[in-house]
Amino acid sequence: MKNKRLYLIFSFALAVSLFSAALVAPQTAFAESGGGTGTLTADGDGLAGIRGNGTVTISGNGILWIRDHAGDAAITISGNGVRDALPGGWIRYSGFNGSATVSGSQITVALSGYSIHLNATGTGKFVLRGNGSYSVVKDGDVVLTGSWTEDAEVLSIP
Amino acid sequence: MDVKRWSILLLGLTLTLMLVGCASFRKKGETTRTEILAPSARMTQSPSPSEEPDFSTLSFLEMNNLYLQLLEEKQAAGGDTEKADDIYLKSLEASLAGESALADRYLQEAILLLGY
Repeated sequence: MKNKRLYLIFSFALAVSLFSAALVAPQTAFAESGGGTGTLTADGDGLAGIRGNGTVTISGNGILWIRDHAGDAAITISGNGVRDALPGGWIRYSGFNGSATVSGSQITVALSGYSIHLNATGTGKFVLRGNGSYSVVKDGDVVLTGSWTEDAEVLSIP
Repeated sequence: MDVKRWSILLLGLTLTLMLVGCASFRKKGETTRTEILAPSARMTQSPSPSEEPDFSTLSFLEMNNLYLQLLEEKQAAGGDTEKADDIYLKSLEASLAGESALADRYLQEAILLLGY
């Protein structure tokens, strides 16, 4: 009788352990896959916006916005555009036609227009509205690909 | 019911729950999407100024192109675009926050401010 009870308790404990492991293991794997840095590459027409930590190179035609939240950004602009410093820390380049490279710990870069090419390495969130395609690479593997969307979908790097 | 039967039943239930749990997490983690791209509509056709815009028929890209086109025209004519610029920035910020409806509302307001 005692053996039977022990057997029952052991089985119950094993069942609980297995169930807990099943719940926790996938979350851990998901968290690990979200760590580190990645590289986003996107091409299209519409609005491309990204914020986060890293280096962003963006080119195309339209209106370019840059925001340096931490005050440590390095900004290099080539091409044409009328620069305006706006309230809230935004810098806008109207009639932009060229390329911009922005590096920093807390930056936002967005380009609204056409023939947009975006390359960003680091960590952050991005939105791509309109027509186009994108991919995110992490450790040499493509971890995310897709099309620019009609609605603003906030996606993550990596 | 004897103890062995209970144990087997318990283990069976656990395995089922594990499989269901794993399947749902795998589904959640699937982020790779491949879609056939629609042909790029680079610029919206120039609308007749007398027409009231029916925003409900326009895609985001069409509305955005319309805004950029009107902005360019107004700037070339030496008009004041400051209010529209401010509202468009709000649209941009809403888009970056994932708030599509709000972003589109600001974008439409910016278009109207440009004297559409």
